[in-house]
Amino acid sequence: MEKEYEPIILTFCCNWCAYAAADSAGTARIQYPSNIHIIRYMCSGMVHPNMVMDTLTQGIADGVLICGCHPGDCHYQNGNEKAEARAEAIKLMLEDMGLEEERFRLEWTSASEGPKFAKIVKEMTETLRKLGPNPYKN
Amino acid sequence: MKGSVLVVGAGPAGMRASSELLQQGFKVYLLEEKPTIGGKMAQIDKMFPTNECATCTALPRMLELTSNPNMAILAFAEVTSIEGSPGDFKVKILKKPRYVDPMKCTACTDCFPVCPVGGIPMEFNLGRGASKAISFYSPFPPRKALIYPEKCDYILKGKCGDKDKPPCVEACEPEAINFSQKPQETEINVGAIILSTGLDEVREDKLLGKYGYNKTPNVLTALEYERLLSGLGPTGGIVKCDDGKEPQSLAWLVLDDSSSIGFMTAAAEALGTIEKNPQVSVSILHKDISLTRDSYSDFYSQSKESGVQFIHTDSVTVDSEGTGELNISYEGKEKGNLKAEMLILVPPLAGSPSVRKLSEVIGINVDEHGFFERADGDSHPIHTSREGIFLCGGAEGPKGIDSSIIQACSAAANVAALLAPARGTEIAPPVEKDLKPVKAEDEPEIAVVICRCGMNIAGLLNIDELVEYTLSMPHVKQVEITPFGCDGVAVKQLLGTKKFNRIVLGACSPKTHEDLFSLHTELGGLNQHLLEIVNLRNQCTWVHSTDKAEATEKAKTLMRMGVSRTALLEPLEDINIQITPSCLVIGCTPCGISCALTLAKMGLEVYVIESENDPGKIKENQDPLVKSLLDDLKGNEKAKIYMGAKIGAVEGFIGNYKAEIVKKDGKEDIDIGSILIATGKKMGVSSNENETDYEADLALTRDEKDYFTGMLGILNPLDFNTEGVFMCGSARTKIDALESVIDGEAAASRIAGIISKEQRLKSPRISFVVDESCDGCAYCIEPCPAHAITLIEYMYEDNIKKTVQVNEAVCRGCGICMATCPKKGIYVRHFKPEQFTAMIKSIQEGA
Repeated sequence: MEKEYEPIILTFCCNWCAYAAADSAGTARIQYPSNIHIIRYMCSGMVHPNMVMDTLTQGIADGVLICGCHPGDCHYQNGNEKAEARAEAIKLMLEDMGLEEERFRLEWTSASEGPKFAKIVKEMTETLRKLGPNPYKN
Repeated sequence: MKGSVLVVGAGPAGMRASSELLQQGFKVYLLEEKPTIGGKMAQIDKMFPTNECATCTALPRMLELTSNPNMAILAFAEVTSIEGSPGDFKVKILKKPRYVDPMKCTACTDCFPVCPVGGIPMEFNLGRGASKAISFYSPFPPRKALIYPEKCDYILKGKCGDKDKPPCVEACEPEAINFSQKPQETEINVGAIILSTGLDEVREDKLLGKYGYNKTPNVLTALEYERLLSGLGPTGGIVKCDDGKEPQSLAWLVLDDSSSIGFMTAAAEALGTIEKNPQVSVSILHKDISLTRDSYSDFYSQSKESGVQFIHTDSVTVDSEGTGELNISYEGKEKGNLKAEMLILVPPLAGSPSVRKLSEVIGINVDEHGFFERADGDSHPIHTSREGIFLCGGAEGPKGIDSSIIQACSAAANVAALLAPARGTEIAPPVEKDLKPVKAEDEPEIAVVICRCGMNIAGLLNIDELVEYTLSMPHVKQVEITPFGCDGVAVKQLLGTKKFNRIVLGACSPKTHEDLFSLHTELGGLNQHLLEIVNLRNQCTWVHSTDKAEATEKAKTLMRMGVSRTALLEPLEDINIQITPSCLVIGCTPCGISCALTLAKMGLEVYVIESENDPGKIKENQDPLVKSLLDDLKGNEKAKIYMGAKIGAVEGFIGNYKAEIVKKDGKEDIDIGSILIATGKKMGVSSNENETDYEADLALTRDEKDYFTGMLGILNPLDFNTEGVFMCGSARTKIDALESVIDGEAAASRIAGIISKEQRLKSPRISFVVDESCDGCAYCIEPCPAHAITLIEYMYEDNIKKTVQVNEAVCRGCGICMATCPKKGIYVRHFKPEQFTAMIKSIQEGA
């Protein structure tokens, strides 16, 4: 019997706010789907668009989520603004590659926003469940 | 003379003063009456006037403090006596019993669910939310359990449950619970003391009762409301009425008219509320208010534009009539009434309630509002009547976190000047390390430790299955289970065999435990950058705790990701930057004078440059306090004052600047480690004055009002983006002479943090240029927030080769360059793309 499709979501969390938000969701025991896999980066501005695109076009994940600090809260002044500008480029590349824009999300979560982080994960998992597998998956 | 300092009160001011002193080579005892640190900053959601998240801002600083070897945090303690004199105080401290040994408690929380006594209102949440009789006081450090003796069955009745041992003791693997703990007195010997005891709301019925506080539902105070806004609060950050409904209309009533703090608090809370839910209506009722700071008026305008309604009124009555809605009528400049589902009262602020007792112990008076009094006839706000004891933050008077930070730095500078001869005498020697030589290309031999974390990991997944799976991964040679990885035993034992050149720890969060685990790794004999922490607890078992099989599968993937990356980790060495131990102060203004004098008193060399011929004639320097400081400065041999001189070209970087002094009789070059901009308010550009080039040389920026602006954030009021360069006084904001003096002292602390040491060690996790890939396209230069990257050209095999160069002293390792580079020509060490590609690819392998 074929296994039911469960999306894989790769998540980049910045070290300062977003990773702390994910940790605080844990501390508060807020449950969210196990579909996401978190990578700790120093800043949301550290994520190369190619890293996102390769992950999707190689069919490794069904979606990519980047979480950073709220505007004005960046540990490096404006790394999150850089991430935001790149997100626009990523969206264009997704279109070029025939991928749905829902496969990529950029979100701001502060260190105390564990509930918000969990909510984002739930939403994105649901969206990708409905959307079906990444067409680049063999 | 002692080289150590006691800081009383671990709120934002106390934490900052501690951190400044640590940077300058002093040992610090940070005492806190509550069981956890952070003060009011830990309880609030967002801060004015920057609207930053308080937790995001405070938590990294708390962790930095708790992992510093020269820091002793004395939480849940009070001062019982202070004897002695400046340079040599003997302080008696009473530690309150937690009934849990903090050295043994691993914060596993296994004791919480078995405790039969629940429903205890949480003090940290001001009575909202409920905890067990054994619990954490707050989510902040030190993260150790404690027992509330007035609630615990075993303490009250001598028996709990049907066994001999109470259930919490049964559940506690590390045997940390100790019912025989008594209040414990200890004595410490310090050179100076800082009082940073903070503020509290005056929550008195006689003041608040007439508006329905403690009588009518949904009438609460500003601090209570902060806990509803906070994601770490009892409602998970969703504002709820007492009946669980989310209010659609909220009103704030500012009862604090002695300062602008209450008004700003209301504005910040109202703004935070509509940022969460733009549909709700928010109104602030306030009396006449004057916002002296530009940053405060800007914040006020911002909240107004965002939809906060401000109502100027003198008298307010509240009537609930049992309808669940509050009818608020107001009279005065504006007249009318409004309905609200929730009313937030903003009471006046007073000194922390415990200061009256402390005041008697230390012999320094407090005024009627509980603020410490300054010395008689001394206009300096942080000096007390007892020499060697200083004030900062809310202990001195009502103020926001922004001002508290400045005063904390100023207090640290005063202490550092007083104890200058003893600086560095009590700091711990560096840990002896005997590291196994490892090369990046060595075949990986990975040891893995999986922490049970009591039942937090082991109870929520199949740990034997995880161990077996991990052992089957490439390069993994051994996998061990440990009850609590944080004790370091398993890591040190495995690495002690010298058989492994990489280690993976499946445990809790690297955010809270990386420093500790890195230390264990190095004590075990392995370079700390060869360690990878897999977050099995906060990001796996705790968030997938209802399905053991699912958690086990997720844990396998996380371990696979961690191991894949670990195989590619490289050993790294700290970067050592030499520091020139002197400072250039540009501007003989009140803040320039006070900074220069403070540095000189610390024994540090300082050059003061002033374009006027006689600084004594500058209008701002006529203040009596400033006048006496200027006289002292002129007489101090550490200070060299150049009058009628200007700054020419400046170059260099933190610790290593060169500046040209243009005097009437010629030019002189100086080497300095740090620079202070104390030029005062820009008076417009006069025609005969050359535009100052150093601003461009140092990449300094100004705002539309011509004030200098620097690093963002409430914690960095004096720091430029260019590291090692600072601003103060009216060069940065509208400020009077006395505040300028404090500003200058605060700047002296920032500067001494850099130049009081001959060298500065920094993390090697910074950018590295891959010469063969970089073609000098220079896309990375502009986005770098630290201005650390420059383009260079050189001859290589008869061709001109272009490439970029990273100034290691300046780079902060954010990786914005790495994400900008189209050619994989630059990366941040420890964040190498290959390491992450391997990690990402491994996700799929198990699928």
